[in-house]
Amino acid sequence: MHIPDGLMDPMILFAGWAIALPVIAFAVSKVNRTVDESKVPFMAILAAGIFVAQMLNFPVGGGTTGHLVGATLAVMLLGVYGSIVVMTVILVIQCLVFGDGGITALGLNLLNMAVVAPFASAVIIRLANGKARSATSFAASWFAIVLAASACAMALALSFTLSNGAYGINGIVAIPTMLGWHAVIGVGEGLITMGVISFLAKIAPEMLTMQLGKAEPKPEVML
Amino acid sequence: MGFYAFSAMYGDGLERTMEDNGVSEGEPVWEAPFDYGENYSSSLLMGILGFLIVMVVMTGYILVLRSRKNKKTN
Repeated sequence: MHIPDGLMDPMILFAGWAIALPVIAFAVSKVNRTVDESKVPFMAILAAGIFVAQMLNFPVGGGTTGHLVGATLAVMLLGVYGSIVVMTVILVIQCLVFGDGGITALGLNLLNMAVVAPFASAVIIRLANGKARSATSFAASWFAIVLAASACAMALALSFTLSNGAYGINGIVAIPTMLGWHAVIGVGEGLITMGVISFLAKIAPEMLTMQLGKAEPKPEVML
Repeated sequence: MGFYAFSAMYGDGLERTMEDNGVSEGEPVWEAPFDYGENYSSSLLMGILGFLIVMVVMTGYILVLRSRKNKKTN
């Protein structure tokens, strides 16, 4: 879902930066206030692990693949603000060091995968209120991928409209195609996240209680 | 390894959407020093490199943050 350079209208690229940066700055300030020494290695390993997991593509049929985004996993382990920080670091490194996603489109990529996906996950997790952790992790992952893909599809459609077809893809085609593929990719994301969360709940349940950006974490509540 | 070989040649959801609509990737504005590699061994190497870079950046970020916090409290 990494948007390359030259695909979107410059106005949409600017809008991506304008929306993503204040949200990320807010998340960074929230994490700054609450992070402690004991969480440093865990955050670093989680971020590095998600980076590697994003490199592993799984086939979803029809000659298309998906890969883990990891936003929901990070939300469940670090809270929504911690997830935004971790996803931001990963996306910036992917762009600057590995050329995955265009540098002009980094704002949009941050918006989709480091802002929309964590908040979408957080909504589902909050609605579940700590019940049915495995099912919640699956639903939150699926919803996060589909919503992030919707945001990407909307950007494609708006780019097409604003530029009279010079950028983006016609929304009539872009929106159903993006949603169709990502509805399937979201199942893969959901299964992987559910597997990791279920495993951690058994072997290290305390890892599911770290919530950065909150003054007083509540051990029994996931978000 | 077989899993990688099976899926790595195909595009993801966005790439597939672009392909289906005859849209190709533009020239990158920023030339990154590395890519994910063309085969299993180079991708493995890049995965290890990426893992280390992300770990160092994340640890550095939090340590800088902590030292600033300590300065404020002193």
